[in-house]
Amino acid sequence: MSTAAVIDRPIPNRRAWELPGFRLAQAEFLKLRTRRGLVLASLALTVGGVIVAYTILLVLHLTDPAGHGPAGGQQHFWNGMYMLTALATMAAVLIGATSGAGDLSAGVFRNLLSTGRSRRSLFLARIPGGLALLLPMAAVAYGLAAVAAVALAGNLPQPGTVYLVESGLWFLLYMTAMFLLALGVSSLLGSRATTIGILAGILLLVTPMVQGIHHPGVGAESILGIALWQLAPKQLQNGAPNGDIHMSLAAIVTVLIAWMAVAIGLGLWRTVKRDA
Amino acid sequence: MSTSQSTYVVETEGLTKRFGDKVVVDGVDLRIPRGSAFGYLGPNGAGKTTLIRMLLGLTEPTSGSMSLLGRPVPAERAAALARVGAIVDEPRFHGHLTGRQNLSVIAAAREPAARDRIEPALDRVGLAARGDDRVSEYSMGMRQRLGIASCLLADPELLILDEPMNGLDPAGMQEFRELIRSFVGEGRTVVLSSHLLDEIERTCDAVAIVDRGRVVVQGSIEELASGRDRSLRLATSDPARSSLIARVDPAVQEVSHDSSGVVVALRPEASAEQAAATISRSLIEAGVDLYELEIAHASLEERFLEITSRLGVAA
Repeated sequence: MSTAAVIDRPIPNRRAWELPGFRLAQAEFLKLRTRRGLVLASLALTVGGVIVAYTILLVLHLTDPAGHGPAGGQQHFWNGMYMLTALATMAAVLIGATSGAGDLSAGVFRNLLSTGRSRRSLFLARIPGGLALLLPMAAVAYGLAAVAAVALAGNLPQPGTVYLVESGLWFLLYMTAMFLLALGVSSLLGSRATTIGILAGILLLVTPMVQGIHHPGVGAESILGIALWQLAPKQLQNGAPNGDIHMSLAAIVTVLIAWMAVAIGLGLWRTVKRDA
Repeated sequence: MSTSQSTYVVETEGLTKRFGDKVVVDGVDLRIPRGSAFGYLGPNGAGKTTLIRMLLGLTEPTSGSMSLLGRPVPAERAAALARVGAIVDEPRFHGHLTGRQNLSVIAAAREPAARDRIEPALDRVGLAARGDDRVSEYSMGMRQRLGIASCLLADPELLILDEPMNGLDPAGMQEFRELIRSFVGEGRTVVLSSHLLDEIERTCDAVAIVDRGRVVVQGSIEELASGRDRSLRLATSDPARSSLIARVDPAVQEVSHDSSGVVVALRPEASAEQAAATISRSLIEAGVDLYELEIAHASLEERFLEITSRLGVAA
């Protein structure tokens, strides 16, 4: 290559792909899907949890039909959804935390910045990249739970189609919100382990404790998990111990948007301001 | 839009970075000529990496201005960095990804054509056969080479390499030197930050010596090395008489002895060749046998130590 060939080369016009592009999102997905431990843990917490739960119910029913009714049906679906939501929330936290802090902890963030890409686009690309891993797993897990609830219902009442579709959409929304929360916190803190620790504490300890108070007026409405459960189909809410809390749609949406705006806003702000 | 054709690929003016009260980069004025291998030489902690981080927009300067490839940074950072490949500190990658996958991640952040450069880049640095191995299994030398490959994804006009020889064995260093010279041969500019004097001297055309955040001196290697007083080394049959004879020569500043014989330090304005001729003639005329006469050229290392030790005394 001649000197002229090097110095006359045009610079690509970046404006067309300044926004988080498909290729960046693909790269984010690649980074996540190749983490064997993360994928196995997430599968175990989503698909694995459903398989184990319904297998136990099925075995109990088959070995003792008099003492244990059919494994499927509406009641088991409610209970199963509550369990699946709790477990899959941890999968969302794992994936979100890894997505938010993965480049930093590997020391790759500065390599990516050195390309001239904006910090904003690098941050935003993590969202579709992470959801591309999480949502299919969540959808499969939910699909298995729904199929099992119907197929194994025996003489028990089955959940209806509309109810199943609404529950599925709500479940994916719940997972998306938890992923975004973890992504934002992780990008803010720059640490995967700290993020998982904090969010596991909040989601698995604090939220159930507040839910267990069964009393309005203690600020429980402002907790993300509780507000999200308020969005679930009414029948499904029977599976969650939400006590006497009842929120209007406007209040639920406000809480949801506030949490997402704060988490994503802080994560984005830190990503833009961080020394690399 | 095309890259600017300015003479200098990097220009900084009064570039300063403070961390609290500590001044890490102190009013650096730097001009790096296009198409050369330029060494940024200084001891550990001199502020070399911080300067590179500012150039790449990884950290904000406290004051001063800078441009890359003729474009002001950070105002036109994206356009400037489109043709810059850089390794900062040490090449870091996702250990769980293969070399090829790591390059595809970096290529995704660049122009679409970068993806087509992955294979040629791996080939160029000799990693094509190991491209599908996980980076966690790579040696330090292989990571350094993968770092160079990641720079090549930009088809760079300017490569900024921070301590690229760290962790390399002698064969690896030699390979790296050849690679860097080949880049310069293609019209690219390579900025090599290092504390290894010998490597800068062997690889680079020009150098800036930095100490405690300040550029102390910059210029071509030859210019800098020649700034030091030269000397003659004599091996003769009578060192004592040789010293007396040499001392009266007007070109001579000082005469001393060491294990190899007589060391004659010359005045800065003196011609070493002329002094060698007159002193050897005087010795022979005085009946002293001259076994060996060598004009000792100061190395960059000597110059570097001279400069930094002078600063140390001044401080």
